[in-house]
Amino acid sequence: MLAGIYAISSIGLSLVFGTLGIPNAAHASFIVLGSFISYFAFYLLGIDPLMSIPLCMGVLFILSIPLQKFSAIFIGAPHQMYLLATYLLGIILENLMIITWKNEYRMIIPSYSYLSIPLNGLSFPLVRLITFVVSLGAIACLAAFLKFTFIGKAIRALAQDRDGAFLVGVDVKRLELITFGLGAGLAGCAGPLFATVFSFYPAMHNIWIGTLFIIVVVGGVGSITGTLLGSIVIGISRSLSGYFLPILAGDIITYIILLLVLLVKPSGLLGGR
Amino acid sequence: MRHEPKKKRFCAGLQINPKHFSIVVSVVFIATLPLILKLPIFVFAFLQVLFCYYIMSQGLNLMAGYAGYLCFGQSVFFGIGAYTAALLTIYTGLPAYFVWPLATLPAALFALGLGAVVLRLRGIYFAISTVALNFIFQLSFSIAPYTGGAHGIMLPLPPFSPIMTEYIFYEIALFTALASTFVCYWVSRSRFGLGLMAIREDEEACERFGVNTTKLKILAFTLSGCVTGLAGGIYSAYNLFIDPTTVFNMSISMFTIACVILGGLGTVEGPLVGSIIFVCLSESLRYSLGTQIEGLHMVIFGCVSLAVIVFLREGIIGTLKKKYPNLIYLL
Repeated sequence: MLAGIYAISSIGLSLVFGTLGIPNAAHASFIVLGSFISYFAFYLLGIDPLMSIPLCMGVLFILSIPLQKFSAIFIGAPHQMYLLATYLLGIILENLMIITWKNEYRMIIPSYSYLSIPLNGLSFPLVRLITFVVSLGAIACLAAFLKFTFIGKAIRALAQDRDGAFLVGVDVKRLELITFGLGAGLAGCAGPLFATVFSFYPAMHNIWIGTLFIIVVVGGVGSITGTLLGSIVIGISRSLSGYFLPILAGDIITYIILLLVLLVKPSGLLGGR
Repeated sequence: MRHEPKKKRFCAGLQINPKHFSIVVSVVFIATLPLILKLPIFVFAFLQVLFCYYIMSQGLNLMAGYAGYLCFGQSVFFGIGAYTAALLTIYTGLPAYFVWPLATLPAALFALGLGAVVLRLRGIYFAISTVALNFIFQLSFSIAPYTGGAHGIMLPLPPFSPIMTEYIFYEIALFTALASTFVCYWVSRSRFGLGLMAIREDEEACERFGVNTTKLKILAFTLSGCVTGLAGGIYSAYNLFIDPTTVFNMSISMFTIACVILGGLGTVEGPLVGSIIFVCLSESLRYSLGTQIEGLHMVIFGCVSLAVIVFLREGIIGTLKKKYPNLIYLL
C-alpha cells in the first residue's frame, strides 16, 4: 500500500529528471505545499482532500512556471549545480511555509479516516486503499497522456533527444515549461494523498527527498514503469523491514538497495540508456 | 635592505623565505590577538563557528573543488567526528579537549569505506547517493542505544575558568584550521592534486592516460572525511552537547557547499573568503531576525546562496583570478 504513495510522489520527479535532466530537489517541498493547500481546503472550505487534488495540481502548475524560467538559467551547468540550486529552492519554500504556517505537525483527518476494510482476515485501512487506487489511477492517466496525446508524444521525443525534437519542429521551450509544470502538478497530486496518510510539516521535505531520489534512480530515470517498480521494491522492503527488524533498518536497507542497483546497473532497473 | 642581515643573524643557518616569515608572523599575531584584546566570550563562540565551517569547507574543497565530485553528505563525517569525540570522553573518561583529534580516524575510515563503493558512480549519481546519507545517519543515531539516542550526549565541563577554556579552544581551532589549509595547499601543488584536477576536467581521458582515478578519488575522499571529522571533534569538545538532529543536519552540508562555492571551488583561499562571508551573514541574520520570525533568516540565506550560484559560479576568488590573473596572493 505504501508503494502507491511512493510512486505518485516520485513519478513527477522521474518525469522531470528524465525529460529535462533537472534533478528537482525541490520536489518534496512541492508535495508539502500541496499538502498544505489541501489541508486548508479541508479545514477552511470543507473540501474533501480527494476533491482538492485538481486544485493543488493547478496551483503548483502555475507556481512552477516562474521556477522553470528560473531554472532555465542553468542550462549547460553541471547536474550537481542543478541539484544544489533546486535544493536551495526547496529550503526557501520550506522556510516560507514555516513563516506562514509554523513548523507544526499536521494531518488531514476526514470522516472515513479510521475505517478499514476486512479482506481475507487482513484489514486494510480505507485511506491507504484509497490513496493506492487514486495514485495508480493518476499514474495510468499520465501514462496514457504520454502515450496517446500529441503533447505527450512530444515530451517523449524531448526526453529522447532535445535537439532532434527541436529540429522536427517541436516548441521545445513551451514543452519544457509544460513538462516541469506536469512534474510539479504530480507533486500537487501527491500532496493531499500524503496528508491523509502521514502527518506533514514544512521541514519534512528533507526527510523525503532522499527516498524519492532513491526510488527514481532505482527504478530507472524517466521510465514510468521503472518508477512504479522502484516504489514497489522500496515500499515492500520498507514495510517488511519495519515488521521484522528494528525501525532504523528500513532506511539503511533502502540505501543498500540503491547502492547495489547503482553498482550493478547504473541506469536503474528498467532504465534504457 | 636593513632587515635582511638582521633576520639572518636571528636564525643562523636557516634560510628564511620572507613569504614564509610573513606567514609565521601573521599566524603568531592572530593567535595572540584575542589574549591581548580580552574579547568577550560571545566573540569566541562566533569564531568557533567560523573555524568549524572553515575547516569543513576546506575538507569539502578537497573533494568538490579539485576532483569535481560534489558531496552532499558532508555532515555525516562531521557528525561521526563529533560523536567519536563525545563517546570517547564518555566511555574512557579522558577529557574531550584531549581526545578530539582521534575523531578523524573513524570519519576517515568511514569515508574510505563509503568512497570505495560510491565513487564508482559519476556526477549526478554520486551526488544523489550522498543526499540520502544525512537523514539515514540522523535517524540511526537517534535510535541507536549506545549513543544517547535522540537526547544526545552531554559532556562534562573542562576544569578551566570559562575565559581560559575559550582561549584554549581558540588556539586549538586556529591551528586545526591552519593544518587544513596546509593540506589543501599541499594538494593544490602536488602530483596528487594534479591528478584530481585532471579527473575534474575529463575523467575518461585521465583514465586513458593511465591515471588510477579510483584510487585518487578514494584517497581524496578519505582526506576530505578526515578533515571534516576534525571539525566535528572540535565542535563536540567545545559545545559539550551534541544530538543527532544538529550534528547530522542536511543544512550543515548545504551551508558548507554554499561557503565553498561562494569563495571559489578548487582554490585554497576560496573557503576562507566564503566561510567568513557566509558565517558572518548567517550568524548576524540569526541573531537579528531568527528570534523574531522563525525561518526568515533561512529564506534570506537561501536567496543569497541561489544568487551566488547564478551570478558567481566561479566564486569570488575564481572570478578575481580570472579578471586579474597577475594578482599576487598570500599563498
